Amino acid sequence: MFSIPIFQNVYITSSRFLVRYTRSLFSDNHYRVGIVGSGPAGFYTAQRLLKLNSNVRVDIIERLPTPFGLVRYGVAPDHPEVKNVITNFTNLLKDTRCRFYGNISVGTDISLSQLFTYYSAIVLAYGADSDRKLEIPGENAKGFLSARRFVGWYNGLPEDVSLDVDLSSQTAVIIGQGNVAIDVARILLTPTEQLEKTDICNHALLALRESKIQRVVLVGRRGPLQVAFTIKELRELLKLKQITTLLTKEDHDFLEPIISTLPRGRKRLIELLYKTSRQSLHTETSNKCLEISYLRSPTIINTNTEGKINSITFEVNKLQDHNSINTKAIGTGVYETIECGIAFRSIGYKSIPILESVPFDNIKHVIPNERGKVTHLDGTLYKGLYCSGWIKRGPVGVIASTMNDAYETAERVHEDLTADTLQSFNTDFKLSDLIPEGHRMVNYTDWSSLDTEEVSRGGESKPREKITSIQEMIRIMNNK
Amino acid sequence: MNTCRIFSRSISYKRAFFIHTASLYSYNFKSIHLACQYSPQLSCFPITYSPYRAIHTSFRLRGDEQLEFNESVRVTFIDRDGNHVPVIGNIGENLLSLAHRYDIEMEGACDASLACTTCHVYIQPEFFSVLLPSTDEEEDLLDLAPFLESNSRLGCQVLLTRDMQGMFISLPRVTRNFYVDGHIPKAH
Repeated sequence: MFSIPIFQNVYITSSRFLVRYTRSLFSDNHYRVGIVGSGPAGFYTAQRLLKLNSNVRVDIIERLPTPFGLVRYGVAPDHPEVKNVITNFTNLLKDTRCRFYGNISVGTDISLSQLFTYYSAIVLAYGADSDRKLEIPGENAKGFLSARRFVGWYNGLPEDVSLDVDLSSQTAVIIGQGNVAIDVARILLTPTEQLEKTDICNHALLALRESKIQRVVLVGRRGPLQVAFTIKELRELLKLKQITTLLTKEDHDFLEPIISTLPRGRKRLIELLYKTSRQSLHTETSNKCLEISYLRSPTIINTNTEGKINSITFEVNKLQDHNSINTKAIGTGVYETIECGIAFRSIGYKSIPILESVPFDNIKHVIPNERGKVTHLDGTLYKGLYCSGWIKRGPVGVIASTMNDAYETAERVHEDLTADTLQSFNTDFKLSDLIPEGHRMVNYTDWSSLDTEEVSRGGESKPREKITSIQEMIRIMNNK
Repeated sequence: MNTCRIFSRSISYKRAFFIHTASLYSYNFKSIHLACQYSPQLSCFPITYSPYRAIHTSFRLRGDEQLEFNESVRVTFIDRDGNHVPVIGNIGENLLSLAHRYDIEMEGACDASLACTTCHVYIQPEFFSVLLPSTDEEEDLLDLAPFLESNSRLGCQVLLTRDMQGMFISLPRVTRNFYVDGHIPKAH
């Protein structure tokens, strides 16, 4: 067999390697993939793609000057271990085949068609930029907030830091029973001495220190069997000594005979809910409490004369089928009111179309796709355009779901690259060349200097103090 | 015993090797080792030069390991593309760090702090009972893992023991039909 030396004592013997290796020696042909969005979906797509194909170079394009999307702006500050993934993502940015372009908004600063002339493929991974509304009267009342924006507020998302959060009342109501709802409740109730050690933003910490909130009510439209939060979050909540979780015994009575019939994930969660509801609770008056309330749909947000929320009217529901996980809630015509000074809607994130030329499914709120390759609404494939993460499958799932889903997209891109259906390039290209002068683009070095500054501002007690204004971020980057 | 000693000497080389071989457990390490030196056809090939997973039926050795022959366990990973990657782990080491040492694409997003499910693996059913039972916290996370099976575990929580000699560990495949296979992504 013919073999060629490529290094001291190192030979290539496989013909497949031989072909690819010699080809790579004599030409600088490569594929460029642009990824729009630098959250987990963007990074995992980049990671898998770089691993699968040695001829690929990846540019990650981000609207904000900072990378990592919801890992930075969504994960709760008291869950630092979830943010460990940033280490992996940073390693990827250090790879010479992967570049970061921050502070560039695709659609505004640069158009998709412009990108297509310089990239073999574009992967949209910009996630879910909005959230679902209740569509009931009074939803715009002062003091009725979107949980998504509240999360952005305490995590320092530049567009949400100015949110008007008034914590001067005793009761807060959260509509929705998912993990975001639990995050919001936990942040509202956790003693600030504990939050001081996290990377929660200073403005939020100051506001929470002044908070008078003693009671948070998590209201769900359906019953305990249909809750959307996960067992990990529930267990964490139950372990917190400072917060008493109140579950009404009667609400959970019917669960006992059906626990054993449930599928694995649901079974353990419901078992924990049931067990907790059986325990006699010694509520000390000093303890802050979290109540979980079921079978209530909000109908009106009531306001005082100044337009500020003072209570919410709920319609009592019953379920079509008590014992089924996927069942519908039906109104009974009975109403009740919960008084509160602040309330949140937390009924799910929602993706929105940001690029006019990209097909969008307005019912499922995702980009129509076939294993990650964007399709037109009639099902035909969109050449060179892919999607990954929440914009591809909807805003649900843990980071592992996004990872699997991003891997699938990366494999789809790789398939098309190996089939040679996409354009390759042999000249170097910098996205910055397309950006008009005067617009401050952010690269990895800029981000590292900002990162260093944030960590140093955190001092000894906090892992970092996030900078929340884009102007200030740019100023710091320019000064370095 | 003797074989083991030769084996540990062969991996004391400062460079990573691929050694082509049909069978992992039955060959004479010394002959392979010598063959590497004298026959370029056996392709002593630094890992960094191999962007393709095609030769993963071969046995990879890493030079920088500190292995005591009595404390190592041989197991085989089946990666996301279906390639078999035989590796040698130290007793007490977790599967996640072992996979990382051998450059196997097992993600460990939370750095083994029990906060994610990205190191989800399937354990060869015959060996499942050999493992220490999972804690409630691990089970809580497994409940959320995509493509959960009865032999699922989190790689970062499985510590190698002597009894795991010859165990196969497979990573979840990236399926071609994410939705069609009935998987329903759960709320985050």
